[in-house]
Amino acid sequence: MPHASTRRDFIRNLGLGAASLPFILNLPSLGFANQTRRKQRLIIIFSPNGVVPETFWPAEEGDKFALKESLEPLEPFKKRLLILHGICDKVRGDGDNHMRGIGCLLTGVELFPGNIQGGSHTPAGWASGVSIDQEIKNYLQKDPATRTRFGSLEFGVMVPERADTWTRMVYAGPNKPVTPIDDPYQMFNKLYGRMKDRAVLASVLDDVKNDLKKISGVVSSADRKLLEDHAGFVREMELELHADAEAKAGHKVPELEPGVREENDNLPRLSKMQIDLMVNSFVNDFARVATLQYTNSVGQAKMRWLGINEGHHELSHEPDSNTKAMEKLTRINRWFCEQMAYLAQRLAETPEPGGEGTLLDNSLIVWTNELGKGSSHTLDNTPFVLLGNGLDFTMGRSLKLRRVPHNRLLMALAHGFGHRLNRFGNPDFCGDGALSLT
Amino acid sequence: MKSGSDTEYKANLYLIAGRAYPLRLEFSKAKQGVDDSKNQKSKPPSAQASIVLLWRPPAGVLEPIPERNLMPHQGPEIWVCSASFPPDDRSAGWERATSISKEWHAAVTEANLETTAYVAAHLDELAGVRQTDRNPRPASGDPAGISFDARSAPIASPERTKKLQAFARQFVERAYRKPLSQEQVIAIERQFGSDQDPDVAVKRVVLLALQSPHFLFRELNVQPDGYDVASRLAFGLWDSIPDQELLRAAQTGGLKTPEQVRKQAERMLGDPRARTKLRDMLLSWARADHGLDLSKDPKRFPGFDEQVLADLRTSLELQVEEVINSSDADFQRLFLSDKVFMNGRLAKFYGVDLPENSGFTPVSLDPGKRAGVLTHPYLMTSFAHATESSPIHRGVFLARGMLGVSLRPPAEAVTPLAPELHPTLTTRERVALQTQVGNCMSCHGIINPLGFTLEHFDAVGRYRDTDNGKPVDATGSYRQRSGALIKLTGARQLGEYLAGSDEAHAAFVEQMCHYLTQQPIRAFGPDTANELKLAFVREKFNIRRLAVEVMAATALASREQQSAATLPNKR
Repeated sequence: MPHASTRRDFIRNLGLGAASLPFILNLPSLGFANQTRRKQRLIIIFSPNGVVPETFWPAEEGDKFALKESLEPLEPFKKRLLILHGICDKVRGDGDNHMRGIGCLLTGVELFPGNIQGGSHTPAGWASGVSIDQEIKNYLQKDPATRTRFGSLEFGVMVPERADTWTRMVYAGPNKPVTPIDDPYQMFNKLYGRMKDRAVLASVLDDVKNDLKKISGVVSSADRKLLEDHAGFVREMELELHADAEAKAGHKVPELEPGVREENDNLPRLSKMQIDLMVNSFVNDFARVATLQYTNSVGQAKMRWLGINEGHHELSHEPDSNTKAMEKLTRINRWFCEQMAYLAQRLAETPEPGGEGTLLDNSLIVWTNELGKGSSHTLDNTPFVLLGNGLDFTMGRSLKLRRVPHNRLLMALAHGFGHRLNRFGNPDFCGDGALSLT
Repeated sequence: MKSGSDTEYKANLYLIAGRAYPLRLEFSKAKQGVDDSKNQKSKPPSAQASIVLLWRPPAGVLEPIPERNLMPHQGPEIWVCSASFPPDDRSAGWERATSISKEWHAAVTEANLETTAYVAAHLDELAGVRQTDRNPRPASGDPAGISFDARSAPIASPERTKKLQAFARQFVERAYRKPLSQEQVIAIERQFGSDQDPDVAVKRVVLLALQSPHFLFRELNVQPDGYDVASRLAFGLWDSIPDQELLRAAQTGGLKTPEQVRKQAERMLGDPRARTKLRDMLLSWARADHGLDLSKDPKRFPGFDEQVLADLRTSLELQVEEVINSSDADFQRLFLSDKVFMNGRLAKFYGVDLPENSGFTPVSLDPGKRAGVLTHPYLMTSFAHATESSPIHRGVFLARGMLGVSLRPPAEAVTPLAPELHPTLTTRERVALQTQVGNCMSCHGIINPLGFTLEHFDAVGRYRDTDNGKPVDATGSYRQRSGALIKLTGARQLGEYLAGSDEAHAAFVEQMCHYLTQQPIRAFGPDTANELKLAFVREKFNIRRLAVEVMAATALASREQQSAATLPNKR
């Protein structure tokens, strides 16, 4: 049964006439917490270099399935999981599979020709279209009911300081890549910097007022009038700042562990800091869309804390016969999965502010990868693991689809927000419409 | 990185005129990424690559940055705060700050926060903290109070704290423009007390200083001390704070007499900020920025486009700059010169012989018929309608701006008669027809005869002998305040009259004083206006010397007399 999304729909469903609406809407028994739709959120997590299919995909199809090793950390959330096997990135064009793997992943459209040469194929530039997270963000920002301070936040962890096709996943438009912020202190500054400064300002106003009083005593009467006006404005500002502070008292400003350097071995700590900041930004409703990019396409993170000293990308090119390498790759992907599980757990234990349930009830986490398998560079069976009840999909299933272009999944994400796109990215791959996952 | 056909990268920047900003442009051509040269069977021909740096200044068009705006020297980094302030009071016809408002205070707060954030982000650089001053151990202080560059986590290094404290004190001293009192020094030290994070302490000190009336208001003393005089000089000539030499002079009692003030002012005039301020004063005197729409009918004036308009503006600025920077800075040349700066594009439009790609160079335009700035095509264009000249606008400009006549606004707002309704009349005849009603003539009796003298210049500033088929009648007149009626025919006679006119000198002197001090001239005593005018004549109308004289007459004035001498000033 379609659940009513507004008070008016509910009334309409009850069969009551429009004339009775003004009267009935004020009845206490029909009082909802607020008249707006529930908040919906989308989070996209990216990890590079493909997966080991045998240890990743569940063998079963349907709502009874067992999680393989790489996905085991998500066991507590099994009923809210949706695992999609068989989604393929069909976009071709310039750039090698890695570049297209990340560049076309969220955009569903070809890369421009350019001067970045990959390991094969023709050199390419940026993607030639907007990415789905920005498309949804623009849709949400247009409506005052779903508008937030930032709309979307782009997080990163250990993203190299280069701007090229391998390091950018999010696009605000053709040739408009968006840089992820991988420095948690910089992200903190973006979210709370101005607030911290205003707090410092509020704390010095007493001294300002004293200063003004002292000077008022020694200036001429004409000047005194100006100083009194000034003191009046300072008093007003003080009241505003205090009212501000009280309003924000309910939302905790996160405390960041200080002095964490951006280096490979700190990946776990940086990841946790970014996830904590992300959850906090949802609590304060700074954004409804977020992306979290771990390193980059062809990422070379060395997961020493797992006992792995080789770079991720070089490991991913080992042949299947190298069982040791495969086991390491499985553990690497399992570690990424643990990050997703941590995010899910934080969302599940945080109540939805001003609403019902938890943040996870209203969020959808999408974990994806640039490639289906690292050694073959295949773009078929691109991993897509969805978690959360944010978009009214039917969760708790493992699906085996038949070579579905991923554009259709991107459209389904938009549809979940009420943005009924009938094409996204390259229209050749949108023919059959949005994937139906409800 | 090159991608697709993306070739344009844009940004907006807020800059203040008269300052030098360092500019660096890096351009490299390569294929980026994996080296696949072994795969290529034959090397492709090397393609040409080029880059051009364009800008569009306000009231300008998009063009490569002109050479005269570039200089091959390094400069220090300048940071400009971009908070937007409400406009100042212009009710008297010139800008002055008469009161403060909520919007002003909100803008001040916005600017404070912006500045504090910049200082915090560049703190180590500004305070001269070196690597060796930092404590290598990671921090353990309050995480919410850490500086946002916490990767180096330099908390609790005594050497660094000392430097930050010295910087904080220096910052406040510069902001207050005078040495700090003992009380103020103790207050700063208190912020850096034992358990305060020094970065947060600097932020508090900076915020406090920028909110304080010591910074926001120009002077608090009734009798200006040496530092107040230094501030008046710096604000007057540079729109900035005193430099080290001014502060030293203030400290050693070297700013007590008009002669000492003159010496400092002479020195300060050498700074590009002073030249820019004088240039802007002249442009404001010439009413170059009244903001009306300057587009013209493309059928009547084919080829008069945005580019030409931007070039005309540049031409006017160059002319004014040339006068200011010349050895005698002669004010009279503003009325008498017949040289106009033109480039190839302007020469083509105005019928002057210059190569098409020529840069700006002074050319003689309609020799014997023009009168300096008065007939500059930019001004003639701006005091005109889309197709016809406007003797009324020109007359008001001459009466109010040049001669200092106070005119009330018209009793009723009237739209000009459309030329199509009177197809046989010249502009002069049409204007006379509309304003001949008795009530109007009380002002138009002054305005019209002045404006008619410029009728030889059409709506884009070209010289013409006929208007609508009839010969142009450029006869006019002006009744001096002494009562004498001066007859004038054509721009040349007008220019010569104004160059020697006592009233024009007085008007210019008054406007210079208003522009530099932002105070009514009568605030400095009933005789100041006349004394300055006499000095102006004595110095052979040298504009730079006039600026010096204005500072000498105003920088030492006590503020006590002002409250008694406020006269209503309609200009």
